Amino acid sequence: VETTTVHQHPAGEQHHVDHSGHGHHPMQQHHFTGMEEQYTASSFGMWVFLVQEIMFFGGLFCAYLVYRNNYPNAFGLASNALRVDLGLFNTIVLIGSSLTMALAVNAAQRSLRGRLIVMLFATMGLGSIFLGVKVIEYSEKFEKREVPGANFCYNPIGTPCRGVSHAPESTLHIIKRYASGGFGQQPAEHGAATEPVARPEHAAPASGPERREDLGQTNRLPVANEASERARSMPGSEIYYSLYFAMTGMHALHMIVGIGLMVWLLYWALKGLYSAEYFTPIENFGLYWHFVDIVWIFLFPLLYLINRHIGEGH
Amino acid sequence: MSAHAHEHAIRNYVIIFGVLMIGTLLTVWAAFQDFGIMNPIIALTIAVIKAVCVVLVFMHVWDSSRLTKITVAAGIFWLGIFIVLLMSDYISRPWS
Repeated sequence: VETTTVHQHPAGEQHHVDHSGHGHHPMQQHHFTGMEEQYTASSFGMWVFLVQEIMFFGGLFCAYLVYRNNYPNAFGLASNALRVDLGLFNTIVLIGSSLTMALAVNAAQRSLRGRLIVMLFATMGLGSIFLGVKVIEYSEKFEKREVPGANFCYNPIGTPCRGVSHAPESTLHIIKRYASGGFGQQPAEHGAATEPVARPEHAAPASGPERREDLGQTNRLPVANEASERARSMPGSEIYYSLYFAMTGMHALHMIVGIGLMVWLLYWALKGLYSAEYFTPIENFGLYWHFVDIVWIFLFPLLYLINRHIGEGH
Repeated sequence: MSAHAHEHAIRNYVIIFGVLMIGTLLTVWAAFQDFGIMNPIIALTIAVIKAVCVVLVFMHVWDSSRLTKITVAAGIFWLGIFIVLLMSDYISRPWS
């Protein structure tokens, strides 16, 4: 029966032709002897991929280790400039998302379609909250000139950095200002020779009631000073922030990819593809999500909690 | 697995979630105490315990095949080689 069915449809997807007469699960691929072997192969493949991920993040952690040894004070001070409340909140959110992911896999193993869908939604939601908090944290770093680059300035012990605004601003506004070199220019002191650089927000009216002209008047200093300000930054602090953005950025990228994959899993879960006989994609995605959680378990103490007992004011 | 075994698994997940929460709060608390040179060691020890909990229970390695266990162990072993060889190089460079 099986061979005749196959020969009738030589060009089509032969293994989907006749499930009842075919003798195996519709999701079994023909080069496996059974679902068990297919599951073992998929699981092994996923773990080999995760081992590669360990080595990938391991490279970043090794760079961190070397530079933290080289600049222990700068790392300690710059770490205190991060917001431990947001870091702690995000850690709790991410561990919560690992729990909902474990429950999603559990639901798939038991063919509980409704619960699987709810748990996938919960995991996506918690992952999105994490990324939203990350946006708040990153925008604060742009605001305080703590993003590596031409405008970088981190000097908690000596002269404070200029142009650091404490007024609430939109994330996009801060990034635009940072990109256009709008920090620390002050025409009042230096006359027409240092006409302020045209800033993007001047083209359009400010969105809020508080227009940003006042900021432009008080916080502008010559552009030439910015390089020297950057040079006066605490040695090693820019390396700390480079590693902070590289490590948390790579971690966030993994989460964005994960949320994208969950959209795909949700689509098939809604179609009822996953059951006790076939739940490998859910299981393997769960492994990926938990791995990303583990990376954060290490990132949180290593980036946020250095020398907290000493603080930034010393 | 039976329905009973699945319910048992859920109980384990909730317990591990609680352990991870306690570990997280403990990490933050310990970071604000002055343990001298032990501060980073305590932070990393708690992180390793949390990671082992996730790997064994959430990622099912405790109940997995020997192949999976060897694969995970190999990954951690290679990370160890990475760190040990790298640091033995860097900490033995008096000129840098």
